Amino acid sequence: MSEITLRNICKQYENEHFAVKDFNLDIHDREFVIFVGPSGCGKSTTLRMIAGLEDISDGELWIDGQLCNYFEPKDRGLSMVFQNYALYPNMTVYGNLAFALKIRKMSKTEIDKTVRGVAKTLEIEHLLERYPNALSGGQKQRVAIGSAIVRKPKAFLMDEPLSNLDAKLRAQMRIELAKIHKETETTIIYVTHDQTEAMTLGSKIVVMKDGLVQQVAAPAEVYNHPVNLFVAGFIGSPSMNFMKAWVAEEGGHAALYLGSMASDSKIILDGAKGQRLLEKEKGNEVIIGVRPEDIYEYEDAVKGGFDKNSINICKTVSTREVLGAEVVLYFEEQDKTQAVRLKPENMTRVGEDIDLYVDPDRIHVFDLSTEENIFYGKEQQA
Amino acid sequence: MSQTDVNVLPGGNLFQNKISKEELETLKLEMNKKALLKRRSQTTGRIIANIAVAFVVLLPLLYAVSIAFMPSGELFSMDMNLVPEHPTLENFSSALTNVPLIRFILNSFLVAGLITLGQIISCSLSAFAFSFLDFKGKGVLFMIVMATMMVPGEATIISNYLTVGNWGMLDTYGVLIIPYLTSAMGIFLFRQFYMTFPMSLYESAKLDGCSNLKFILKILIPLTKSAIGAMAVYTFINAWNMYMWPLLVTGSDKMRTVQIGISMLNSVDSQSITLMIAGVVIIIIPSISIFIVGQKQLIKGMFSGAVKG
Repeated sequence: MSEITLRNICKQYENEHFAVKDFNLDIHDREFVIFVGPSGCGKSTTLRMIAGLEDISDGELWIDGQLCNYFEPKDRGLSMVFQNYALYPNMTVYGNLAFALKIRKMSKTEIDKTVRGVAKTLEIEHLLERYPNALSGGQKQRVAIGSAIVRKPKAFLMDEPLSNLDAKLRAQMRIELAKIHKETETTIIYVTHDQTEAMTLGSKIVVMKDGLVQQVAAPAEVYNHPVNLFVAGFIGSPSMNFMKAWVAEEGGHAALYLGSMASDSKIILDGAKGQRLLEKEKGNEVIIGVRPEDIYEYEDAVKGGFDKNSINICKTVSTREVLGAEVVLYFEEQDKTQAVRLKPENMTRVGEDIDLYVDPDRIHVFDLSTEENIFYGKEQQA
Repeated sequence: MSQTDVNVLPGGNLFQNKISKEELETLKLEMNKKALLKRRSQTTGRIIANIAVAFVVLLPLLYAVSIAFMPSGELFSMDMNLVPEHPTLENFSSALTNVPLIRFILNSFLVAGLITLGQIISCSLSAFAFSFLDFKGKGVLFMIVMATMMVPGEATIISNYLTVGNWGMLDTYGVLIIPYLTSAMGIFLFRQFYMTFPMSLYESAKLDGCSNLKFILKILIPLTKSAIGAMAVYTFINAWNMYMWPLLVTGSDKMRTVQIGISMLNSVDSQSITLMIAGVVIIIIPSISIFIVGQKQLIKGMFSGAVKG
């Protein structure tokens, strides 16, 4: 049972610079929380503050109902997996796993039982007598996870644990981690800049930027309802396409004109969304965001029934990526490279023109100055 | 068309111009031989050059050893006597009986040994603080420690002498050892070594519940054996060769170290070069043997951190 609560946590350095500002989060038992964001956004600093490796400048850290700001790292009952594994090179794998237990003065037989149990779970029994330098990256990572598990901590803290592994091994370890989370039934706080890891592993994602929390939500929620331009652009690969557009009223509905009011590329938003848009931004310039998979060719637009009230973008393909199950085409619009994800049957070549239609239901609109999502922004949630 | 023509034709079938297997074999052997010869001659050349340079460098030392075995009459003859004609051990025995050399050697061992131990403990602990702990003024403090390296020992030796003199410490083991129990050089050496240590190892140990002292004993020391070895050899040899300070603060035969003791062999009344050299040969044996034992560690430690790998 472990509940971790962060209340207005700040990290301020001597030069007055805030690495983390007003971080608020409730982490419930058995949750898999992911801190994600670009480098320098304060995600690792927050994790290290929870671990006790960095002082908390301001705010409160509660672990299981205890205020832990001034607790020594060892007294917080947490364990951490580091990016570079942090295995003791002078000890065998067995020694590494047993180290924390030895310090806690556990009896030898008990240590042996626990270590072998953990080794079995992680399938590293055959490596117990080896030294870390005789292990491969993946094996080292397993041992590192093992030495975190062995103490049965209240929560695991993981600082980019998979970023030193190659792509294939990373995918494999990701699945293993999910399995370990299920088996050990512990809370995990995981830091990564890899959004695939964030989306696949997390039960809750915390998106950060410049020391500020941008959005806290389940992966699907973050993907489908990003609160602002940053979250929308950060989550998803290829990232969301952003284009400027003007809002006008047309027959009671909201119309978005791509680029300028005189543009013939427009999209009609009806219903509540359209009303909301008119109410907030009528006559203003806004940023619209469309995910690459929400842009269709004509036939699919007809099938979806939005060929009439959608932006029709006719563009020259600049790059074509065949990914097997899909084709990603890139084109230039408003001086930016935009991407569209189409079915693999699409045969449009580089240099050819393509007609594209945006699904109006899946469109995001952001305020030009605040960059908040007009439909799902903080104001809406409140 | 001749066979060579076929060979130069662009895109022509080179395999038409086949060499028999035997020919290929002999060609290979010949080329191998040539390469081998070249490599061997280069190695031989290098070895000869090395031996020549080593001989020049070692000549004074070798000559000293040779003199130590010479009867004094042989040394002062007009002939060129590089090697003793009638080797004798007499010089050694008289060096050992004329002055209490054994006592001096023991003194030096005690002093150098304790200085080495003290420096390793104090330097590694302070280097730990300078590289792993975070405290206010760390950078300034480290600068101050490093600045002490810039002050030559001779500049402070008189004031140091007066200080220990006032404390009544003259002519004791304490005065030989205590002022040398730490060194900026040692702190610097250890710190450089610890800087290559991944910080996450320390953090991981902290989360595991390891105290600082336990971390030093269980993880840091086992992993920095080569630095400790290098430091030990370096410090021991330096302490063994100390001259000015022991000369100043010791007065009795009981406390003298070898370097002072050896100069006692050179008395105005009975000057004997062979005797002195025999004494010198006796006292360099410990420092050379320490170096031989520790040279691998010394080199490893001195250069670790210089290049990654």
